[in-house]
Amino acid sequence: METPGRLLRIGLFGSALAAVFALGAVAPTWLRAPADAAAPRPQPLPTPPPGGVMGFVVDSFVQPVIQGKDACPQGTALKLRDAYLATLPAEERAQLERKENEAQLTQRWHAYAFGPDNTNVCSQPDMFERPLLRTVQSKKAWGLDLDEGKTDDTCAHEAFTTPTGEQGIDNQEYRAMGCTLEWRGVDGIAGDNQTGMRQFMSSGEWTQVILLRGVDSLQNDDDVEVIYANTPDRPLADSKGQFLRGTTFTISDKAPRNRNVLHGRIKNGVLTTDPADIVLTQTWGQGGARDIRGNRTKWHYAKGRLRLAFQPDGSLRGVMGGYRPIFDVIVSPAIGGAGSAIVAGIDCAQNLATLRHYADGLKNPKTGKCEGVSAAQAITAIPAFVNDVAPARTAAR
Amino acid sequence: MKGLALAAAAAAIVSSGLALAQPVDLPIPAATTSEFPPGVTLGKAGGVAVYAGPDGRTLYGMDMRTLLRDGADPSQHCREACAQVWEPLLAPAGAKPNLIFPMGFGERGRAPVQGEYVQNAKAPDWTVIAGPQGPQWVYKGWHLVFVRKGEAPGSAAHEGDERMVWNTLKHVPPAPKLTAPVNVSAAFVEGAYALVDKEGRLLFTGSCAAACAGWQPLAAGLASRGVGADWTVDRAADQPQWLYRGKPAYVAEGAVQADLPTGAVVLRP
Amino acid sequence: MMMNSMKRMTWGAAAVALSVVVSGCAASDAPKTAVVEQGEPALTRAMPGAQIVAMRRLTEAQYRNIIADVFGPDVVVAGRIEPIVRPVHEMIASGAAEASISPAGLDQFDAMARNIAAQVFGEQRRAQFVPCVPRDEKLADPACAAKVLTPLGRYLFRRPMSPAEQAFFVKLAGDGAGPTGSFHKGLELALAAMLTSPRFLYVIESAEPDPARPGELRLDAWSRAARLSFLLWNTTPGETLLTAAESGKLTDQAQLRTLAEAMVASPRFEQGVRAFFADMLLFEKFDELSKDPVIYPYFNQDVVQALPEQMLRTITDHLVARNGDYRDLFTTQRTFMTRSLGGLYQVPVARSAGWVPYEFAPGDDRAGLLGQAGFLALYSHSGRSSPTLRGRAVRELLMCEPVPNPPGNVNFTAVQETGNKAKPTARIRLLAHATDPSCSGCHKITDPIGLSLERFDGLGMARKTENAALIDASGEMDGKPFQGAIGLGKTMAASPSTTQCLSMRALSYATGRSGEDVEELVPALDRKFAAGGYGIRALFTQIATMPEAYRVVTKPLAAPAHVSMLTQ
Repeated sequence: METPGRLLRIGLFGSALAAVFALGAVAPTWLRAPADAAAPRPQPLPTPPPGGVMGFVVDSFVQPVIQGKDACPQGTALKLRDAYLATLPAEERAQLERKENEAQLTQRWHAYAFGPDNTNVCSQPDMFERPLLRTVQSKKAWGLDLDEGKTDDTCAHEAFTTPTGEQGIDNQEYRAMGCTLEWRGVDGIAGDNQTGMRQFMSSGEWTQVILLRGVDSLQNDDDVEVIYANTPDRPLADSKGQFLRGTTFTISDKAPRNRNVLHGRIKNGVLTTDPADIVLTQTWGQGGARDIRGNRTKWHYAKGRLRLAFQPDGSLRGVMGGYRPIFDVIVSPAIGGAGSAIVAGIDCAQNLATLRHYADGLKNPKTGKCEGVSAAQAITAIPAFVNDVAPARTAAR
Repeated sequence: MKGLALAAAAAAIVSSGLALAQPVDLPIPAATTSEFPPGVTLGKAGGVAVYAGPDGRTLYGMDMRTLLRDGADPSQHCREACAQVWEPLLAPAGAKPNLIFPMGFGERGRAPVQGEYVQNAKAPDWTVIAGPQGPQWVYKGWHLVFVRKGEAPGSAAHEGDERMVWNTLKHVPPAPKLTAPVNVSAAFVEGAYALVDKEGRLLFTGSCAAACAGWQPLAAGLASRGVGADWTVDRAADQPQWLYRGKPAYVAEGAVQADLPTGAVVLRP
Repeated sequence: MMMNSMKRMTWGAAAVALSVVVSGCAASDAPKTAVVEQGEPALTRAMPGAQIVAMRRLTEAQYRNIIADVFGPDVVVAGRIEPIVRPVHEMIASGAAEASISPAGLDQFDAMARNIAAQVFGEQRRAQFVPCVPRDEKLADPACAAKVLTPLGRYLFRRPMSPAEQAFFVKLAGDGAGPTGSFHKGLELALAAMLTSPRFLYVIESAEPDPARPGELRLDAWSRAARLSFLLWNTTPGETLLTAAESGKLTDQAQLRTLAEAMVASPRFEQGVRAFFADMLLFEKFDELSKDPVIYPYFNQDVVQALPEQMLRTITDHLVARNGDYRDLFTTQRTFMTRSLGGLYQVPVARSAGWVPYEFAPGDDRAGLLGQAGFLALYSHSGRSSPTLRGRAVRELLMCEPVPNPPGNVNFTAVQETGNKAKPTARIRLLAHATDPSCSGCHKITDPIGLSLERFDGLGMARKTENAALIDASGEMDGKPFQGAIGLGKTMAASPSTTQCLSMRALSYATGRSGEDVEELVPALDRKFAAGGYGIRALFTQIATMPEAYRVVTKPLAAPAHVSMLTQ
C-alpha cells in the first residue's frame, strides 16, 4: 500500500515529467530557424500605429536547435542506462545487455541513479560526480554576441557562428545541452523540451507579452521602451492551436509578477534592447503559482537582451540571449527527482557537470568561477493588445 | 496519455501545495486552531500578524520543500553554519514526532505504517518532526520552525532569505463558523474576516439614495424563513433579498474594499 | 424498497403534466379527460368560479427565474427544458399558449423537479423551508407538511392553493414519508409533484366577468399578477403582487398603473426586457449556431455564448439603463466586450475577465445592433455571409414584414461558390437571383439591405475585401439608398415600421396572442410609444396597463374544464 508521503512524491515526480516530457500528447514539431534578425527586410514593413504603442504575445519560445549530423557526430548524449553501461568493462557490458539479463541490468542502472542516504542524481545533482555529456561539435549556433569580445567578467569559451555568418555567438547552454535527446529529438524533429515548451505556451501557464512604446518607425528608431512581461491570461487559439491575433492580455499586477522594462532601438527593421536583467516566470503545473516544492522557477537572463525583427505580416521574430544561472537549466528534471532519472533517463548530475564545465558568465568575483551559462531562446510574437498595469493602464496593439 | 495523467496528478498536488504557502507574496492559509505550542504567541512583523516565540522574536519557517538539493531529508538541513544563526523552536523533550519529510520515488528505507505520521499536505497547524537538535515544531506540514539568533522582536529582516527558504510564519486567524445561507462564507480580506458570496465577492450593507439602484442585492428565496438568528428575508423587495442582522445585504463587484461603492459597509461575521 | 416507492410516487407526479399533453391547452380546445378522483384536483374545483381562458407554458428562463426567486439562487436547476415551438413569424410567447409537453420533455421536468426538491429539503437547506418540527422525522406529519407546502403552493401556483389542492399535496407528502421512512423525503415528493403540476408549468390565465363590459370577461386578479410579473420581470409574482391581487388592487386601473410603473422602474425590469428581445430576435437560434473553424478561426464556445449576451447588454444598456430612444438602438456606438469578443472585433478590452463597456469611434461602421457580430453571425451560413438571410431577418424580425420562403427548385450553386474568382463578391454572385424572375421578387426586398452588411464576414468580423475584390457596402431599403451598417441603422431608425413592429411584438409577447390578433391595437399603442419618446419603459407600462390587453378575446374553455392528474 502506498503511504501518503510516497503518493505525494510520486505526484512531484509527475510534475516534472509533465514539464519536460509531454510525450505523446503533442505531435512532433519540425524545427524552424529563428529569423535572421540582421538580414535586410525584403518586404515593406507596416507603419506603426498613431502613438507608437504596439503589443505582442509570444507564441513561440524555444531553444534554437540546429539540426544536422555535424552537431552531434556521435549521436545524442547517452541516457542513464547507456551511460551506466559505458562505465563498465566491455565484457561485463555485453553480458548485461543480453536479453535474459534485462532485469538485472534494469536493477543496476536504476541503482546508478542513487547515492548514499537516499540521494539521487536529479534531486541532489551536486552530490554526484559524473562524466560530461556529449556536446555540440559544430561551429554553428543561434544566439547573440553577449560579451562583445570583452573578457573581464566571463570565462574562457569558444564562440559560435550563426548559420547566416554572424560571429561571436555566445550560447554555451546549447553547446552543453544541445546533444541531449530532450533538446535535439530525432534529427529534424523537435525534442521533448520544445514540444513541452509549446504546450506550456498554449496552456497559458504564465504567458509572455511584449509591449513597445514610442515607436515612430519600424525601420529605424533610436528610442523605444520595451516591456517584456508575464501575463496570467491564457492565449486564445484557433482549432489547430495557433494563437489568435488581436486578442487582449493584461500584465499581472499580482505576485509573482515579472515585468521587465527595457530600452531598445530599431535599426533596419530590427529591434535590439540594451543588456539588462530579464526575469520571466515559468509556472509548472497548470494554474499553480509556484511549483510543488515551493521552488520558484524562472527564466532569468542576466545581461539579457532581445533582438527581434519586425515582419511584414506584423509579427516579431528573433532571439533572446543572456546568461542563465547554471542550475536553472536543469531545474525541471531536478524537480522531478529520481523519476526524471529512472523514467526519463536523465542524469541531472551529468548535465550539471557539463554546464559547469562550459559556464562562461556570471563570474563570481570571490572564486573567479563562472556560475552562469550563455544561452538563447528563439522567439516569435504576434500582434496583440496589451494592457499594462499602473501607473496607467494602456491598451495598444 | 501517461504524461497527461501525471500532469493531472501534479496539478492536484499543486493546488494542495498552494494552501500551504507562507511567502508573503502568496495566499496565506488560515490557522486551523487558536491553540499554539507552549511559548508561541502572536506579534507583528513587517506590518503583518506573525507568530512569535517566547521572547517576542518572530518565528520563521524553513520551507523544507526548497531544500531537497542539499539532501534527501531536508528536515536535517539546519546543522553547522545554519545552526549558528538559526535557533530551532524545539518541542518539549520527549515529544514523539508525528511528521516526517515524505520519502521520494525509488528511495529505500522503512516505509511508515499507516497512521504513524500525518500527511504533510494535510497536516494540522502544528506538528513535531525529529529535527537535528531534537523534536522540533513544524507549521502547516512543511515549515520547520526557527527564530533568528540575535534578531529583535518585531523584525522580519530575513523574510524570503535564500530564495524563499526562510519565511516569517504569518498568522491568519481560523475562519469563524457561520450559520449562513448556502452561498455565503467568510474570507480573510485585508486583515479581517468578511462575508463573501460564492464567487468571493464582498457582501455589504449601507444607506444610500439613488445610487442604491445599482447595488446588487444578495438574492434570497421568497419561501425561505431565514437562516439562524442573523439572516432573514425581505420578501417585499423587488428581488427577495437577504437581510443580515436586519440590514439589507448587497454583493460588491469584487473581493476587496476598493470594489465597494460609496456608503457601503462590509458585512462581517 | 425506498427506491421503488420513490419511483412510483414521482411518476405519479410526472403524470400531472402528461394529462395536459393529452388534453391540449389552447383556449378554444377544451380538454376531454375525465377527472380521476384520487388524482390532483381538477382546476375547475381548485379555482371555483374562475374561467380558464389560456394556459401558457413556462419558458426555460422563466422556470429558472422562478426557482431562484422562490428557493434562492443557490438552488441549482440542472438540465434543459424542452423548448417551446415558435409559430412561424411569431413570438415564442404566443407559441407558449399552444405548447404541449412530450413524454421526453416530461421526463426532463420530472428529473429537474426531483433534483430541486432534494436540494430544498436536503439537510443543508431544510431549516429555511420547514417552519415546524415534525413529531417524528421518520413519519408523516400532515399538520407540519401543510405548514410547509401551503406557502410554497401560493408562490409556485401564483395563487393560494384550494383546500382540495392543499389536502392532495399534504397527502402526497404523507404517502411518501411512509415508504421512505422520512418526513423530509415525503416533502420532497410533494414538492416534486408541485413542480411537475400543470398549475406550475403553465401560467393559467383565468377570467371573471368584466363589470365595465357586461357579458364580457376580463383577466382576474391572480392572472393579472402573473401577467405583470412575467411581462415585466420574466418571473413569478412576488409578495407585493400576490398581496395586491388578494386586496383587489390589480383590477383597479389607477392602482394597476402605480404598480406597473414601479415595476418598470425597478432594476428587475432589465430581466423582462432581456426576455422580450431574446424572444423577438429568435435567440434560440444561437443554440444551434455553428461555423467552420477553418474559415472562422475566432469562432469558439466562448464567442458563441458571448454573442447573444453582447446584444442583450447593448439593448438593456441603451433602453433601460440610459432610457434611450428605441430607434437609436440601430445607430448606438456603445456596447460591451469580453476578451474573446475583443479578438473577433479586433479591439482592445480593458480587463481580462468579465464584460467591459466599449464605445466604437464616431463613424465606425460597427454602430448599431445590426453591426454586432451576434446578428451578423446568426444570419449567415456556416462558411459564408448571407446578404439574403440578413436582409430577411431585418424585414421579418425588426419590421414585421414576412418574406416568403424560396421556391424548392432554386439552384444555389452560383451563390455558394465563394471561391469563384470570376464572381469574387456576394453582390456579384447574387446578381444571378436578381435576374431570375422566380427569385428576384423576394431578393429585391432582402438583398439590398443585407448587402450593406457585407463588410462583415459570416462570423461578423470586419473585412474590406472578398477574394481580393473591394466590397461595395451600398444598400437600399424601400427606395432609400444608404451605405454600410451605419446607413442601414439610420434608415431603420427613420422607418415607422421599426417602432410599429416593436409595439406589435411587445403586445403579442404580453398577451400570448398572435400578431394578427393584436394588430388592431398597434396604431394607438405606437402613438403612445412615440409620445413616450420611444422609451421601452413607456411602451411596457402602456401595455401592462391598457384595459384591452386584459380583455378576454378568445372563447373560454367549455365546462367542465379539467386538467387532472393521474396517479397510477
